[in-house]
Amino acid sequence: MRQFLKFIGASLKMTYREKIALFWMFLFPLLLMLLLGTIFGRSNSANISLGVVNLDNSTVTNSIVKKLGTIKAFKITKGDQAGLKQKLSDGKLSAILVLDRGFQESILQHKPGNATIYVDKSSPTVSQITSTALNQVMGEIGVAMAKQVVPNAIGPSDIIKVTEKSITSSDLRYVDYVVPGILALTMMTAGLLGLSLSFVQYREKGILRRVKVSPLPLSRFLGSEIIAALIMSLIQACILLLVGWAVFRINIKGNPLYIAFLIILGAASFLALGFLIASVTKTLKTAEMASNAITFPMMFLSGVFFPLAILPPFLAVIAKCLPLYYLGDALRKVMIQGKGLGQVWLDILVVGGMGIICFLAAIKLFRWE
Amino acid sequence: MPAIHVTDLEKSYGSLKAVDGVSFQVEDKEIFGILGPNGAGKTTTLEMIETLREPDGGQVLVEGMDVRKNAKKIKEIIGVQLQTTVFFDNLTVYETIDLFGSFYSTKLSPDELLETVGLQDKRDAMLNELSGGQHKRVSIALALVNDPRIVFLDEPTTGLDPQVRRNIWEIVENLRAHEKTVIITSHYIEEAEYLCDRVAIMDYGKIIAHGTPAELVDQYSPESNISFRLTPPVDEAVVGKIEGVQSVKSGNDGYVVTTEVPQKTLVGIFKAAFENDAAADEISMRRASLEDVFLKITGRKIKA
Repeated sequence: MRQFLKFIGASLKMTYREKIALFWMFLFPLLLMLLLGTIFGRSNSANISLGVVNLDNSTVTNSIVKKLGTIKAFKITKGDQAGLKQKLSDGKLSAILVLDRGFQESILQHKPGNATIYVDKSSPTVSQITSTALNQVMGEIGVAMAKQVVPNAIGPSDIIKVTEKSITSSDLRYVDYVVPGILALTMMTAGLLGLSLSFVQYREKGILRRVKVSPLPLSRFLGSEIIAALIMSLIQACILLLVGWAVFRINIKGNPLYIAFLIILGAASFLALGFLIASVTKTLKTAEMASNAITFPMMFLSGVFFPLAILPPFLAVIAKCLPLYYLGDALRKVMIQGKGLGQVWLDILVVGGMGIICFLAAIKLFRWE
Repeated sequence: MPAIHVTDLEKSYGSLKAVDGVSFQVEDKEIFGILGPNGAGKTTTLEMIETLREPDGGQVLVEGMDVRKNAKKIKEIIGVQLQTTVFFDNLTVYETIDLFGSFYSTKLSPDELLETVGLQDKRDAMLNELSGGQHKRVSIALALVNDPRIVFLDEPTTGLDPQVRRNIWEIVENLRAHEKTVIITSHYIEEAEYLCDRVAIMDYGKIIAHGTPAELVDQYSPESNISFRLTPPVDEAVVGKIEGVQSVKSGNDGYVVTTEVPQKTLVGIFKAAFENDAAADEISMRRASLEDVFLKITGRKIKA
């Protein structure tokens, strides 16, 4: 036990002193998240250019338009439907809100007023953000309006009925989508780069041989290295989640224990893959190349940054052959959609299976020199 | 019981017989040298004793324990310095020794070891800040970390400049004072002559001679070389007739003769000078070394 702790302590110390590795392990994923989150998630909401078509042109609709204009997040462009739709497809507008004829009429009759939001399907993230924001704003305006016009109205849904068009689903924000992906990505790079490169280096330098002439058993040596790497992965995951929560208020619905389980499972499985690379490659160069050859396609094809739905079908098939896809998928479903582990059993099976197979192969192929 | 008992040890890499039927014994508390050119099989032999490599044939007993059956016990009582001496870059000298110490059931304090190898002032330096000689010293400290009874030093001074090499020799001498059994490999003749109680000379996977340095010289190369100058010069045939002279080489710098009776030959040189009205000066005598022994047996120099 004392040996274990000493070794783990030394490993952590070494990692801590390796500033470049620290950058890749901690700062890079964090920067990636902050960057992607800011570009696609947050600044957009302060910059939604909204086309408004007021077909009803009544007291109620006019004051809705006026209210929308006072909200900083929206840049309002008024006009006719055809012109605005052209602008939407040109990418100059994020969405168009059409307040249908008879809007005020319906409200006065205690029925919801009809409104339609048009969004550009080809940029799903922008459209999702816009429609979510608009729904919320319309709701708030609705409540305020209701109190003036119809004092006994209850809530927003009673006042305004918004029909979304060309919108796929839910109130998923891009940050919520991308954070589990980056988390999975980080577990992968930590596992692949952390263990495999240091191991190959140990071997190249003859450190493994020096360890071998001591009575320390291989299992304990490997075990401490793996545990140290796991601890690093967990610290990374915690930092990512904390920053994600503090900056973007990412919406974590899932059971924390399930999330922790998935993170450990992912980290361990990719460590095993890294260990396998370390066992089969001879030099640091080839180990680096092998790791990159594995990480790069996975980084871009596994749906970390964008949903597989927007990939051409043949690429989506490839993605489903990559273990990172399953880890990202499981983390997303559990973290964001609050699903249980049973609902992501396939993901767990694939990720865990890969880990076990890699570990057994690595042990079999392990060489001291 | 000898500290190490090696019998008919064999190891092949493909068709190359790296170690080809090697047998020797290392007595308790002696410094034993394995001398030979690069590729002679010294390191492979050592690594089989250290339990790093599986022998193809033969037997190795370390304090009576078979390396094949008692590897773990043997590892506890031996200390090993490997040829490659690079360690974890991001640990300090102290931390490295402390870490390796934790692998053993007996461990010495890192500070004590740093004193033994004279690295107290580098205690908190990172490994990658050390010079080649300092690296070697760290690796020797690591070889002593478990207070071993038997210490293996594989070419501890290769690549070091003469001054640093002397420092390492002092450390090894000091091990004798601590009653360690030491096995050292080297391709430096003077190192083996200076440090070792007994030497085995290895070439092409075989031990071609072994004994104390003096025994080897007496046995294989008993003659001494005497060089001198005579002014004016005399005929080579005259020099050849001097008592005890076996061979003569002459050149611009004078003569070099070989003899097994150097004292008599020295007297003879003065006598010949007197008889030929010549002055004898720049006389120097050199006893044969292990290098000459190696040359004699193999017809090659060790550092080819």
